[in-house]
Amino acid sequence: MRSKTLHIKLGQKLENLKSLMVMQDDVVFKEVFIPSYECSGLFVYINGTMDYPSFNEIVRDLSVAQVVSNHPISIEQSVISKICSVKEQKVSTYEKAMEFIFDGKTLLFIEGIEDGYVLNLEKEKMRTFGEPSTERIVRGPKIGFIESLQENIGLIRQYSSHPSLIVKQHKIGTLEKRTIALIYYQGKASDSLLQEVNRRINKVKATDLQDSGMLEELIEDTSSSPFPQIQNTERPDKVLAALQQGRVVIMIDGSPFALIAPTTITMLLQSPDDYYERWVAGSFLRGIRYLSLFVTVFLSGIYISLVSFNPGLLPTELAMSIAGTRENVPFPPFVEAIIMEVTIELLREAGIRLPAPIGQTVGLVGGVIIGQAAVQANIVSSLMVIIVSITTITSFTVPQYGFGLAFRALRFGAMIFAAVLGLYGTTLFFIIVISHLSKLTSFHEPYFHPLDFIDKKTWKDALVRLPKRKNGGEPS
Amino acid sequence: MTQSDGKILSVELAFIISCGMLGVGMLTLPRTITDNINSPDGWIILIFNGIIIGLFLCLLVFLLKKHQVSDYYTYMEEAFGKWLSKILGFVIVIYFIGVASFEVLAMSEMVRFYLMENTPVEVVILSLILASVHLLTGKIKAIAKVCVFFLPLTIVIVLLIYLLSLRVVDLKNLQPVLGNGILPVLKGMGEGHLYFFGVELFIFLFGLVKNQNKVKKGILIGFSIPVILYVITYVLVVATLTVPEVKAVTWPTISFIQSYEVKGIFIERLELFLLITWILQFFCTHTIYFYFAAEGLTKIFRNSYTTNLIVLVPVIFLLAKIPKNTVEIFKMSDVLGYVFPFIFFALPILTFLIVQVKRGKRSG
Repeated sequence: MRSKTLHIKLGQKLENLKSLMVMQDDVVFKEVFIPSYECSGLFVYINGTMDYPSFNEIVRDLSVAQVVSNHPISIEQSVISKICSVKEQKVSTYEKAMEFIFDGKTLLFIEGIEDGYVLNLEKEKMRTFGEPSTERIVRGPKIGFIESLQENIGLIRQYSSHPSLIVKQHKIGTLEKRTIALIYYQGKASDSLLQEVNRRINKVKATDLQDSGMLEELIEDTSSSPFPQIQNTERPDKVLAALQQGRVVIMIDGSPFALIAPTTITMLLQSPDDYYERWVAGSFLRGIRYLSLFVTVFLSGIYISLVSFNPGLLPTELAMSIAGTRENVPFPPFVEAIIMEVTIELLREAGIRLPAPIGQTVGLVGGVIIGQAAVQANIVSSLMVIIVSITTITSFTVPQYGFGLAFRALRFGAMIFAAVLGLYGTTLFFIIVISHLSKLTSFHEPYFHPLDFIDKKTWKDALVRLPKRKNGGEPS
Repeated sequence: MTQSDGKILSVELAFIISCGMLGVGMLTLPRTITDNINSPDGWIILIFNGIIIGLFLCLLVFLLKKHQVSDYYTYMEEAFGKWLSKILGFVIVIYFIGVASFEVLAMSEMVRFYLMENTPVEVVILSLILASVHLLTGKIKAIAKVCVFFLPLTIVIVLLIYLLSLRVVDLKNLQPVLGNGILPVLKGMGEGHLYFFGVELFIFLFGLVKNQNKVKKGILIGFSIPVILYVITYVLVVATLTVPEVKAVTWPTISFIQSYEVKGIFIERLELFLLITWILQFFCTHTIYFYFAAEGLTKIFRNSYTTNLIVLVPVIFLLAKIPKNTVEIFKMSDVLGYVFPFIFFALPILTFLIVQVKRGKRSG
């Protein structure tokens, strides 16, 4: 019965459709009488997906008197002329009809016409464009992507009107069909990159995805690495800059995060407002960010190794004062550091999950009160509290949240290496991290590219943000 | 530019050569040279030998380019035939293993001496070997990137430390120049090439460079960075510590940094930074030699590169366990020093001559 073609009789159609969707309480069947053609019609749709004002308009249009014409016009022709603004296509089988109904379309059947019309009266449910919440900047465009793919593409098209901007859309998934869009500049993105992206997306065609984060993990080069090899962003300006550099942007319906491939580590450490602020300030901030990365990962480790293995390498006065603060602390530096670092990570996690006003309270209570109390109770030394606070603050400076997470996790590795092998262990951990980065690739392109720092053409953008060239030098 | 094509740029060649050369030599070189000539004229030897080897490198580039060598092992096969070239290749691989093992041993000795007296050296040695295996799975491209990242870091830190040391340097200690006459210097020059360990890797790297027309520039830059650093180090160290003291200490460069303190900044003891950066350099040198050993075995036995890496771990580890004390460690470097001129001077020239004759016969 499902694959049968539609009956010509309207009553029969209604009955068959009803029996096919007997469990679906939210399917609405609305019969209308169209006075000008003296025939009845049937609308079928799902409650809640339809935009009522436009529905009313269609009904009114259909009801108004027929134009007097010398030529005989069939009912079909005149109906089509009235619904042409929203009509998408025709359906002729029950199966197809049901597919469209559940896709959120409205179906119109007219007495005496076998086929049904698919009308797009869909009201997309989405929030309005707002400021991106994960990548805030002080100066620059304050608009971020939303969950609707078509709106996001519209946003990109609005700023980039060049016809060589290609938007390729596929459907992926089995249960839920999601639209996924591949966006790139033809001629700028290399063919091998496009091939690779297409190949990887084809591989995951049969996976149901809720967010681009799931896609990211499925298509990246080394999913066992702590570092994200594909950049995600909510900001259209970042996407546009990446497109201009010949990168491919992947967006998926239902996710406000666009994926940018290939990614390099320097991209993850740049914020768009580096380019919107004055260049001295931009370079300064970029330098601060590189420094804070190093501090995030290694400061606790250096503290542990210096205090527990080589206090002799510290200046005498500093060594004395550290020994003073640690006098009553019963734990070795490693245990002390782990207690504080774990506490602060817990506080952070708790702060994110709680509603915003309470989250801040937790941060305050945790940071200030627990820290103070822990020092007074001689569980940790005051210097340790300072070090943990510094590493926590520095870990927030990474513009990309997921990238910052990687470094927060790596910090514990550095601490363990420091506890076992002291300064040599910390250095070894540094070597291992750098080796790992050197081996990483993003869509077969090198991920870590230290030559960026040395090469005449690229170093300035990696290390500092030098003034833009006036003759059409493109930003980033 | 993709990661997997296995070719390097001429800039990367420069960095690999520099990192390959900057190993234990930088820390011990003032002592070894001064021991040899017994006067503070080592810098003259360094400069002259540097120029001579630089010229020889130009000759090598010319020879290798003329025969369009893309892989040195096949080139040797062309010259010596299948079996003799395999044996020669094996000798070279053993030399590489020896240097790799020597570098990690020297590092463990330094770490034991200055950082961690109570930790067993085996742990230090093995952890470094495993760390370099981790990097080596990424092959030459990954090694190149690590070198490109570590070398500028090293140079900047070392030069900063040297800058802060200028207060204690007394150039009078270098005088009189050529006080013992020119003969000891000439004698020292004969053995001077030993300070340039690492430059022989160039003949094996030659075929990997992508932009062949820039090879000469790359290799000369890569060679001159360590030479300049060596000369600066020698002058500063000997000028500060004086000849008798330099001869007495094991690690003259570190002793030199320890001889002064800088008040007013967070860390007074600057040797901390030198030790850390030199662990990075030891790692680079060790990894580069390790790579060429594994790569060489792959070329000779035509087996998998990963297997060779795994097989070499215990070999390098056990070899590093043989010397019992510091004196024996430096004896190990002397033994390696006998092989160095053979690989760097004799082998390329000999191979070139034989191939030239053979190719000449074939065409004629």
